Amino acid sequence: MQCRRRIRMCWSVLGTVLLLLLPGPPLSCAQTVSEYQVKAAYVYNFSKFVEWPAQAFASPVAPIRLCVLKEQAFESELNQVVKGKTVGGRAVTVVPVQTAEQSLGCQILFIASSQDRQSRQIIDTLRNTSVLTVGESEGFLERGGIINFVLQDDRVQLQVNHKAATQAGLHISSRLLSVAKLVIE
Amino acid sequence: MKAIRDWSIRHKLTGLFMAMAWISTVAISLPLGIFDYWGTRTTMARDLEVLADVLARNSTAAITFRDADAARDVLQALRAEPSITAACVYTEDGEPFAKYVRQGEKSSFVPPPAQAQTTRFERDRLVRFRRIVLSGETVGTIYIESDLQRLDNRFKEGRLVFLAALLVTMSLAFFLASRFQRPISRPLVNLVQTAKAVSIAADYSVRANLQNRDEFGLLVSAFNEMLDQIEKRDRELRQYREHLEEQVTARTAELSQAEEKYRAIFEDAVVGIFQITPEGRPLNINRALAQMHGYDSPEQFLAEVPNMADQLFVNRERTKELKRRLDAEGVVRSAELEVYDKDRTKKWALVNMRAVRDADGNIVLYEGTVEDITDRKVAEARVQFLAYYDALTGLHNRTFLRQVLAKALASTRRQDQKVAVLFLDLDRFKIINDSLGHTFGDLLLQQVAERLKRCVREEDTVARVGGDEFLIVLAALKSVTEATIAVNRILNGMAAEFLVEDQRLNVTCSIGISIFPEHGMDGETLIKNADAAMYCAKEKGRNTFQFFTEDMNIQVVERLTLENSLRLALERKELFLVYQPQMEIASGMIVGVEALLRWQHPERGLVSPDKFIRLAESSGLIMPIGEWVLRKACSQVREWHDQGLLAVPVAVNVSAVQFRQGDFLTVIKKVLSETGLSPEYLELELTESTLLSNVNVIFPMLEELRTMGLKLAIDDFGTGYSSLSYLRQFPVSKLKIDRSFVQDVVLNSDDAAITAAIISMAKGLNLKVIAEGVETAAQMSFLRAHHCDQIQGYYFSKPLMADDVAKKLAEQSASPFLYNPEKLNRLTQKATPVGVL
Repeated sequence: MQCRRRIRMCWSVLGTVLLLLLPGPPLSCAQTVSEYQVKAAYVYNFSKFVEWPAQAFASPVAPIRLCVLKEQAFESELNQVVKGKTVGGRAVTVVPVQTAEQSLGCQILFIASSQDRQSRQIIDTLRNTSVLTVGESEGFLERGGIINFVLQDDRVQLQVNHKAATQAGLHISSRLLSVAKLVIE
Repeated sequence: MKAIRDWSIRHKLTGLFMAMAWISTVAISLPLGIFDYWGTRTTMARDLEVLADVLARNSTAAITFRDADAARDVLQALRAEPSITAACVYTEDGEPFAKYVRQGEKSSFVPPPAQAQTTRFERDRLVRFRRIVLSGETVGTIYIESDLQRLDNRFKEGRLVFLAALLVTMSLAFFLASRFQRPISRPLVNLVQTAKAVSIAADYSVRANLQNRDEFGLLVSAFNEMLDQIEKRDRELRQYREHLEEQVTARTAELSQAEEKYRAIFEDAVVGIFQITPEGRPLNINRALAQMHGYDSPEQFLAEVPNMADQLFVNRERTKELKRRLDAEGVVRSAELEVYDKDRTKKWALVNMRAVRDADGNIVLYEGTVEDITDRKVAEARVQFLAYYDALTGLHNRTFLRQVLAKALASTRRQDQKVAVLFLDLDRFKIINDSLGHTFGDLLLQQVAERLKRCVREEDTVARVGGDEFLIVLAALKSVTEATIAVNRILNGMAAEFLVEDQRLNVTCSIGISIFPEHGMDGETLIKNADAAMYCAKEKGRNTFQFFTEDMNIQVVERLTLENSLRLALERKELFLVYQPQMEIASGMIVGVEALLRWQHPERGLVSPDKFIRLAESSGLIMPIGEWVLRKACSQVREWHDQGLLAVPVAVNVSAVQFRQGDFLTVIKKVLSETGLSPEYLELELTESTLLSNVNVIFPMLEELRTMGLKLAIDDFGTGYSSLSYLRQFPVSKLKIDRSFVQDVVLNSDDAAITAAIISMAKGLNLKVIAEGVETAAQMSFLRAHHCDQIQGYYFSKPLMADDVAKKLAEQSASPFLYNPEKLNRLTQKATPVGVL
């Protein structure tokens, strides 16, 4: 019996070592990679897994606009991430916005937890437009948001409101849905 | 070449035909084979590239969003491709992110090179690196490797086709050759036949026929002229020989008359008497000696035994030694010699003999007497055998093995080599013995012994040291690797099916290994350590081997200590039971409790049941402990009844070990009658593996338990065989869905599907279903939606002490309709961690 416990211990040690090797947002790496860095990278990556209807863009070469609602810290992280990047032939730009009306031309709108008070109103305004709303607050999806970040075991994980996405005319790749921890159909 | 020169013309011609056929077949097949081999390689590389493309696509999101589980799920799909030995997803920094290794495979992963995207053949595998690209950006790398089985198979098939083609062309060539060589070989054969006829019949008047005018014709006429010459000379020689023969006959008659008078004494002697030449040819033997060797008469003996030393003496070295002594000393007394009789049966003989010399001192013959001492020798050998061998299997016993080991250690000390001691124990032999009988078990052990002997080298020693335990000494090893090879050979040897009395069965074994000098300097320590290592191999999961390590001793001591304190735990009242309520979903009422065993150790605190239940099973303590649990649980429920509380049954887990013990039914009856509990309030929980471990024994027991009125439930359902056909046969009334399914029922669609299937299947079989380990409202609503009957778990109630259960039961009987456990739980716990929408 001791023997088995030892084997199990070995595995758990090995598992921990592997975990530490993995890049990403576990707590042990918090000093090097902040939660916002991870989320900014994810927001940028969403643009590769989501298809917007053609009318969402002003022209075939119009840039993809990643909007951030009044959150300077996130905005600067996002700027770091998208610097010089293009997706599907479109440039990617970061746009700070203050109100729901300003974000009507965005492809993705990130609503930080600090701005969550306004989220219900903004989501209502953006309903039936093809803006992908991304939040990081409990209940974000229930309010009609499309993608929500949750922290589970110190890892950033995704929840997706597929129904809301479909209503907004967005096509979310099944590959993205497969890594989401919760999908509302 | 010389051999070919001696062939007949016919064979030479046939050989020539066939050699040409062989060369042309090979010349055609070889390039075709090489072409096909390269084609297969190209196809394999292309297939692997396609597979890598699919994996890269499917793991894009997982690597982008750092979801290692999803990446592993993608890789797990490779299980459907048995040729894939390993695969790994790396991040863009080259760190391994998720990996897959085919079962039983040991793969070394290579970090991806900077310029990834290659396919290459390595010694025994084909590997592929592929970038994972998302919107033009490289986000990671896929590594995948496959074995070369397909290539091997293709190679083997090609070889088979080649051999078939070769066979056909060679047969054709043989057929044609046998037709076309005749005109050349027939005249020669005729001439040879004539020459043979002349020499066999010694009739020189025969002449060969002249047929052709070619070289053969000239040869035949020269041959006939030669025959004329010989015929003439032959006639003269025959006359001279007849004259000589007459003279010899007359001389022989005189000699035999002189011998006659001694013959009577010689022939009627009780002991065997012989005279043989120094080379061993018998000159004279009497009736007693002939009979001792199984011949009817001395004449028959002399006719059938041209050389005694070669034919009858078993040991050449011993024969030579006796001859040396005879030549040197002139006499040998009371020598024991092993001999054969007519049927090649070995016998022991006691021999006295002397050398007889002629006037010049040269030995002309040996003569002497022989007595049969076989019976005495057999008795001696039996005594010897019993002292050093195992009577059942004919293997050595522990005593002999100790001596062998001591000798091996002594010689190894001098030669700087290693000795391995293997302690081998058959897995689950007791079950075979109990269910199929001891005679069967003995036959199996004999077969196992045979296999073990075949699997080891001549210089190794195999011994049976008790029951189903074997010790093997591997002597004179150069390295530990050699021991590993030998052990693998043994495990492989045991892997084939055994056939005992028309029953096929698979037997595996666990092997512990200790190495001299690393693991002990004397035999006893090595054996003890191999035993400890064997125990560990069993723990590791049987059918495997384990080298001894120093901390195994510590583990053995620790295990014994824990076992000893478990032995005392019952007396010291350190064991106690807690009860986890089971709720009926429809009514929200407590409809039963499961009794769970706990051990409060004075120094270690609460010891986990996982730990001590297995210990109790292996040490046999499960019997008294199991009986205590039954009695305690039954008397507790009885007590609740007496207090006027709501009557609910108690579920008690029963181990397979308890079931195998013959008197389990007696124990149940005794406990029920002593506690006065009505049998329908006792539910026994058995795991699937317990049910199936020995169907023939367990099935009638279950039938009887049900007749007595007990309830039977299957525990941990879904983790074992989940065989429907068995489920129908067994008289169980309830299934308990394993907690591992329930836990993921909301998150994992597979688990949800399985759980739903189990519930509907159970309904179809008219069984109650209970889900254990229910912790959240989401799980609860899933189970409710799928019409699961009952639940058990923290969502409803954690395991409680008896008094707390009594309180709950009292509450329930006071207000059975107002009681709503779900509402209560939502108030008392901060439940619902997963979003309920």
